[in-house]
Amino acid sequence: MNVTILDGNPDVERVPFSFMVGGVARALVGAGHEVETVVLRERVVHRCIGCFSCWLRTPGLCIFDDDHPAILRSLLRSDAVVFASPLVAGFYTALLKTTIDRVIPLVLPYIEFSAGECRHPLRYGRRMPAMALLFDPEEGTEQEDVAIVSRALERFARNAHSRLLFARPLSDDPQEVRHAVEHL
Amino acid sequence: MLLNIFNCSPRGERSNTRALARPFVEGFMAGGGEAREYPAADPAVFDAAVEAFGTPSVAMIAFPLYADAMPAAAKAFIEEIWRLRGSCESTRMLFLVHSGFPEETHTRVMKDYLERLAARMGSPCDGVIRVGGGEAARHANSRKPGRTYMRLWELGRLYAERVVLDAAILAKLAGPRRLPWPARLLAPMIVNRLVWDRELRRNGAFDRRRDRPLEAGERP
Repeated sequence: MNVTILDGNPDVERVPFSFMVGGVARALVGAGHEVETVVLRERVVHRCIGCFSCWLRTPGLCIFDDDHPAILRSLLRSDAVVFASPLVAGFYTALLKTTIDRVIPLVLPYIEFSAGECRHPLRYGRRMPAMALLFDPEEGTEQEDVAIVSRALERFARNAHSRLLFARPLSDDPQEVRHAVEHL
Repeated sequence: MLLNIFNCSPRGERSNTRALARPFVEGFMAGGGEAREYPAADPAVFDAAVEAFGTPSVAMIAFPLYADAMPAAAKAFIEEIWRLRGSCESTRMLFLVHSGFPEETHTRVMKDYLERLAARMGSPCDGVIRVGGGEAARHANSRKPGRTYMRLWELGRLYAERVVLDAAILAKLAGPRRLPWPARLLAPMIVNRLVWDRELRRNGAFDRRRDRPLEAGERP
């Protein structure tokens, strides 16, 4: 199984976060999976400016020449993508959101209906990777906050023709996380 | 009453967000309010916008859905004002969220998130205005205001008078849970052919519309 982990922690000094992400990656590699961990703070990814060039002028390609197309290629090859992020203001970080916003070259501008709702067809015709969230809670995080950010990712996954496997704290046992990812 | 509008759309002045906020602001001003706009996605304005948020006022944070949630620029703004939590009880929070898709289901999670955000910030929340099908708002003819424009204008006027968002208008703006069947059949034909295909042809990109330029490549 190919797994991409997107590390959305913006704080280089938050060492335990990187350590825990590394633990999950090692657990997956140890079980024979191919894992690519992308530390987003070390990549150059511009924010989407909503120009729709990737739909209407250069179909499938963003106007920004940065590190993001390589991340998209990794997603296209993956069976699962794990979003790893601290919760800030009850949601995953702006750093991770910058990368997620830029997935629109993977869909077509057209609309279709699925389960009675609009969505965009996939550009590459194959299923998007299953999604999972590993979060590091902030002070004051309650179950309600976790439920909301999970529902937001479920909605994103649904409109990306995928599904959310789980949302778990990053502090969970890496072997349990590995097991959950394997439950594709 | 002062209304500060924080337009968090990356498109800034050319945004649907601005086009949708405008009638609300006009109605609000007709009701006796005062309004200021901050293009909060603009790095040059970002700090001033954060500072303005902390002043006694009504703060309207407005954004389109990007990948089913707030755009990164809006999240960056939220992360900055999050630092002010607990000291903003004199800032009333109000939100405007819009989706290109017409169904209200697309904006529902953001409504829950934003209400929760305001509660955790310790600020009174006056509600979340959700607009379904707002993608073409910036192309609307301002001389012939449509239903959405009129509803937003009236919502703004009533808000200035009562400091409450009218629930009936909110429900109409949010959009239907599901489009009726005839619309489901017609919408793809109209939107896909008359909007997207026409634009692709105009850009000389129609033949490349289904290109897969990332098909083969190396890992990052």
